[in-house]
Amino acid sequence: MRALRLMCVTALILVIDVGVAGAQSNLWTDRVRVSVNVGGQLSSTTFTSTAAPLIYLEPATITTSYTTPKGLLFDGGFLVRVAGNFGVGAGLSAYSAHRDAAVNGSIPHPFFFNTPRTLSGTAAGLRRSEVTANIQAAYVLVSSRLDVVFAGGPSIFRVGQDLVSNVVLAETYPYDTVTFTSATTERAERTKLGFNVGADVGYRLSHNVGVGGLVRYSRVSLSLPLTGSASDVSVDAGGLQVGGGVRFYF
Amino acid sequence: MKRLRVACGVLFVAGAVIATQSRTASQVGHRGVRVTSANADALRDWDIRIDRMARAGDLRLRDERDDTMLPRRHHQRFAQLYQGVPVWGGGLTRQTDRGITVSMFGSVYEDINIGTDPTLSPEDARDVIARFSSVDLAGRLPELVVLPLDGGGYALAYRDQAISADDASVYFVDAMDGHLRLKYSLFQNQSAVVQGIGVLGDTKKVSVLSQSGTFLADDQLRPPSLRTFDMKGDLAATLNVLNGVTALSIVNLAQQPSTTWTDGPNVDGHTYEGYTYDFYFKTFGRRGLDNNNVRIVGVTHAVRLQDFQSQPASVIGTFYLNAFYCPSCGSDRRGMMVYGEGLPNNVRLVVGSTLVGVRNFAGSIDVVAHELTHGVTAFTSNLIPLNESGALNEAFSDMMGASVEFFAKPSVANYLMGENLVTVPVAGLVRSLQDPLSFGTPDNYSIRLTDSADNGEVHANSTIASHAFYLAIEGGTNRTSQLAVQGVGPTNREQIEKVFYRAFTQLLPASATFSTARAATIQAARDLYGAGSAPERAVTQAWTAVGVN
Repeated sequence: MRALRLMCVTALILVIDVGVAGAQSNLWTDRVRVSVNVGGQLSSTTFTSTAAPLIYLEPATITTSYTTPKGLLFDGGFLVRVAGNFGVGAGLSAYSAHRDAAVNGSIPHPFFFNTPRTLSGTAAGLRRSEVTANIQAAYVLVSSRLDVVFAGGPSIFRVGQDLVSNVVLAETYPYDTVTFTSATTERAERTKLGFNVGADVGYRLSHNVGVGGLVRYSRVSLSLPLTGSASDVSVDAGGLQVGGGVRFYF
Repeated sequence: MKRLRVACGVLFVAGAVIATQSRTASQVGHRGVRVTSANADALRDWDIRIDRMARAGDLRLRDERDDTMLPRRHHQRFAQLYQGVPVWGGGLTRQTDRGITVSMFGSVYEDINIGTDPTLSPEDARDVIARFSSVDLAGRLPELVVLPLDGGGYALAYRDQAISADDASVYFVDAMDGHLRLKYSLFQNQSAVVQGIGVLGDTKKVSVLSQSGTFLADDQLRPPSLRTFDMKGDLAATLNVLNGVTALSIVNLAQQPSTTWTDGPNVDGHTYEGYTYDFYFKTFGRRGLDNNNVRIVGVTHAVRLQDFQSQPASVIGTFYLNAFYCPSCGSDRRGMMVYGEGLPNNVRLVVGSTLVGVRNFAGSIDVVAHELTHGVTAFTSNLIPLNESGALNEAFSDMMGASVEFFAKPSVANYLMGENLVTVPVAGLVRSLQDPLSFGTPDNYSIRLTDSADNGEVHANSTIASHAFYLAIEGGTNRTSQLAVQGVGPTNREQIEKVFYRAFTQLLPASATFSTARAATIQAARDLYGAGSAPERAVTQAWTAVGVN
């Protein structure tokens, strides 16, 4: 909600700015508008996974707490004018980041049933990636040099995440304690439809080239499969994205 | 050192990669070059190379045959030589189709630069391997090879395999100075935990050895060698093993090709031996029977239930209705546990007016711990198994038997000894540390048995001391003396266990009497917890209550 509020405020400022500066002309005359941005995904989400690999004849419980970090975003897209100041477009954004995750576990004893040992450790450098195809309907406000695009629509998310599926242990007789050595991870990926809404402002440096900025909020909730887990891992993807880059007008 | 790994074939993508290849567990880390190519030129180059090496005597055609699955295909297998000496692991295979090479795979070591004249003779090397393996290799000479070394370089070595009752390994000894260069097992061994169903139908984890798809009762997780052997009812073989005439071998190990073990005696015997080791280690820091991780051997199924009717009374008494620890049995004279087979289901003992079935003795954790504790005693106080010292010997085994039961099975543990052996707990087969009189044994020194049966009634009179142990923990009133004892309470059980363990393993002489045991345990309580401590008070009151002053 905080992200949405920030985005709305930003959009409002842009509208006011364009309204003041764009008194001369409100007609969008370009056929195609292309944007290329580098920015960041500013949202940080958390989620957990629980793996239950069979260790010494019993299911272990390995709970991992992940934080999806803020990270670098690459974004590009185009907008085609359809009628008046309305257009449709599509874009692609890619985000990838690595973050450690806290692992806590309950590991069965080799000699006795129902005598688990506790374990904690850190799974290092788990990779999260999100590639999003944004389909957008847009309305463009323009002035002599400035244009602001308000756009929204469905997004196809391809979300990948390194998930902890097992742990490598160090243990010695009499096995009453166990030490975390490393995590065994597996790559889980899934595609799902979400949404995006945002604003993009451009400032023309010449007839065909400009610079601009982007504020977008996109979101999807999906489930990632994890080997040996009773249920899939629920994950939120997307979030508040900001960026800046070049604009091309044709 | 450079080793070329060759893999050329029509299915591979073009290109070359550098890869690290692993070999045996003990020789990892050779860095070589793997060539993968669909390029006919590369295959042709290797054809030329092979032919050149073969002409130079660096490759020898070892095998050649037609393909049995594809027509017109032909296979050759080459072994690498260096100055006529085989290079261990060096060689190639070549597949051709009507004379055209289709694929090649293999490893060729290219930069060997060592002498091939050994200092050691083959006979000397054989003797060295025999010494390492304890296997008589008379009549066979080892093979001279060039051995690629783990960290780089090569060694001239003699290679031979030696198979004993317990091991099958390949040895490489240096042909110059005779030191062991490499040894690897022919068996694929791995520790494993399988599920076992015990004599009473309960499920437990069993620590075993996984070997080529079979699981053997050879505990790989605990420090000592802890193995359980299934004699499959062969009494003659069992007697030979006990007398040290023949040695137990890997084929005698209890085993099952499944991760669920259903032979209850094998499951329980093996598991309870482990629990007993765990108890001693975790409670007292003791490492096995001799405190130095002496190997533990359990023997099950010395006889067959179906042979019961035809067995003489002596065999029934020893191998059906008994369990024992023999401290000097085995070919190495280091002791063995033997579990009695019990009675067939259709046979009952008549005890008074009660018909009692008897299960396999391995199924009773307190009995297993009791017998193994005789091993501990044998390595420590070595209490003479006669009269009062004998009764103390039995008592200590009962105390530790009950303690192991509380350690491993706290939810069902009690102070009865051997209750799981029988279908009905009756006097003569079961002893009670809590209330000895209820099972016909004395609870007070004043009513001890003084006849000479059973080495001076060592089993019956043991309950005088083991009842003192009980009273020191739980408290209560001795039925004979009517003296009350304030025990330390079950939550402090370990205090009394440590007191008695200390006294019986470190303070008592072999000829100890009940009175000596009283003094030693009070001393142990003072040592551990101080004069006037609750354990000292409990132990003192307990001995007084059972009439030992």
